Amino acid sequence: MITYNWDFSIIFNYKEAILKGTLITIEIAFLSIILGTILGLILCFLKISKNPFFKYPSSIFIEIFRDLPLLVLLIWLFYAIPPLFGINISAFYTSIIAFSLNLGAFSAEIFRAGVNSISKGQTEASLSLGLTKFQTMKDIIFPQARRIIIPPLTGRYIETIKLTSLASIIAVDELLHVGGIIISLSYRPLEVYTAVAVLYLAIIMPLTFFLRRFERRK
Amino acid sequence: MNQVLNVKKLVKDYENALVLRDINLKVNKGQVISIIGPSGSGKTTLLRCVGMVENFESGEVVFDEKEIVKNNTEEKVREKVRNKIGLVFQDFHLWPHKTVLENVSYALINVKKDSKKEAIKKSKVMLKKVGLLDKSDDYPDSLSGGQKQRVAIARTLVMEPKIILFDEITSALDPELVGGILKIIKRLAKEGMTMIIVTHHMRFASEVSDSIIFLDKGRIIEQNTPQKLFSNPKEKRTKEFLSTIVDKKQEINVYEGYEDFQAYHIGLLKRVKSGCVGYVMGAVGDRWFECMGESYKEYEKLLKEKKIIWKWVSYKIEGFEKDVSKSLKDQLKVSLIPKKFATPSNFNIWEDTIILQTFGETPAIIEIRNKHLVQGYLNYFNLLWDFGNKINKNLY
Repeated sequence: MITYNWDFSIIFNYKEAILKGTLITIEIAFLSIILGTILGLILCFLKISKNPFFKYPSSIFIEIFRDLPLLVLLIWLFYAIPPLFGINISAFYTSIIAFSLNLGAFSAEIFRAGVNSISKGQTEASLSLGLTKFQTMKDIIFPQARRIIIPPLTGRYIETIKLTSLASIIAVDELLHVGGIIISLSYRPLEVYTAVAVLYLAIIMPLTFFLRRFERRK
Repeated sequence: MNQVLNVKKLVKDYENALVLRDINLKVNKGQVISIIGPSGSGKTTLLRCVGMVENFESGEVVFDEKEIVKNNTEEKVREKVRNKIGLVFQDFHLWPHKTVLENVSYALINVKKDSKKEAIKKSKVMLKKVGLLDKSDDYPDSLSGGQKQRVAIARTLVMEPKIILFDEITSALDPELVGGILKIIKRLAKEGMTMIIVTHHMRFASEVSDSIIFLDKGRIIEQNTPQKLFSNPKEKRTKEFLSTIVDKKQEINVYEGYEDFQAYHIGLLKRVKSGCVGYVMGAVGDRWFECMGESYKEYEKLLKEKKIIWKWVSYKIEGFEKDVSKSLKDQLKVSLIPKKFATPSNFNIWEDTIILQTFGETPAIIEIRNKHLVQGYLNYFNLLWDFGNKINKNLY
């Protein structure tokens, strides 16, 4: 049996780098969730619209970004954005765009399923009283759809946080990538990866706990 | 005359089947129009097109002689028109996440822009009107079907629409709850509300409406007053439809209180054929006239208009004979047994209906519709009639 001398003191030597990596992971996750949710809402409304000019393009958009493997999307964007759009953006923003597109496509379907689960009569009753479509959506449909939307949506949020680790592939200085750099300096992969895993859990577990409570609330 | 609604050449097309073809319909202020017809005839679709929750392929709906809605009319105009048209649905469609009071007051606050205080005040008045003020803070899920429908009606009424469309609003209710809802509509009709009603209750339709439309396969086959349409339909298809309905008819209904009592008798006269005979068995001088109150004038007018006669087998109560016989000169009577007391009840046979009525503290009517029962009791009545003629020549 191989004896291994654990030495976690190494982690503390790099604590600033690790902290920064953790913060970047949180930043990417937070921004992607915000942007992805907004995108999802927009896509959802476009898709449920009766106008074919909105409906079909958004359906195709959703389908593409749901089906495309996220890792492939991420790498492709990393190489494709500069020549396609003529702009240089950092890997950090590239990763946020990729995660937002992915979350946007998935959450659009979650929103749509929620809205569709509310009977058409609810909308009709509201419209027949002279309410606008926007008021109907905001005050009648969404509050009711919320209960159906929230569980899968929070699941998707957690998933997005986990997937931010993919950004290490395009050298975003998030937690996993920082871990890799530390290993190349310290040659202590086991300690470093253990610490990285614990930190991911530390971010996600409280959030999961909190969201569960939120789901249960009516 | 103020025309609230004018539907011109409306055509509705579902995929490739024509659901409504060339519908023309005018509704004046204060008019009550009922739409009847077999299921799948397009009644509900017509109502939904007029209520602007469904679009149509061609034709137009003119509201209040000025606002015109066509197939391509923009949403802004539709919103404005919808605001003035009330629509009450078969399945209520109350908002389950809002309390009863919030359901009723929401549109006042958000469409009419009333202050919250004002809206709540108005809503409470309306809830009181439909008898549900004590349920204000409950959620719709805790209400019975009849209560839900009453809240839905209150929610529509509180917006003060110029016309209300009722779409089979009793079809999802248990039979014992139907009466209460129909009563509310009758009251609205009395108050002069303009309404279009899609219903399966033929008797209700005939009592409440000024005009009845028979719709079949998306076309208006016939439109006429209830008396004419029910007693003398012109079109073959109307006849067929009405005969299927009449055959199925076997109902027992109870009406209580002065208001219902009077409305029932007036409605009964409107419903029956001209020149028909009402068979009455009871006491001369019971409280019937008293119970009819002011509406007896209307009743008597209808009797004369439709040349309806009462054939009356009765026992007499001393002291009443003269007064009553004066006003009922032209009606046939056979007096059977002199009696000192007035039993506050009698029974009538009208066409396919037997009614048992009492004139106590609260007058009440039990209506039974059954052909066989009518036939049986009619035999019984005729026997008594003949018997009475034999033993008592003293007709008065």
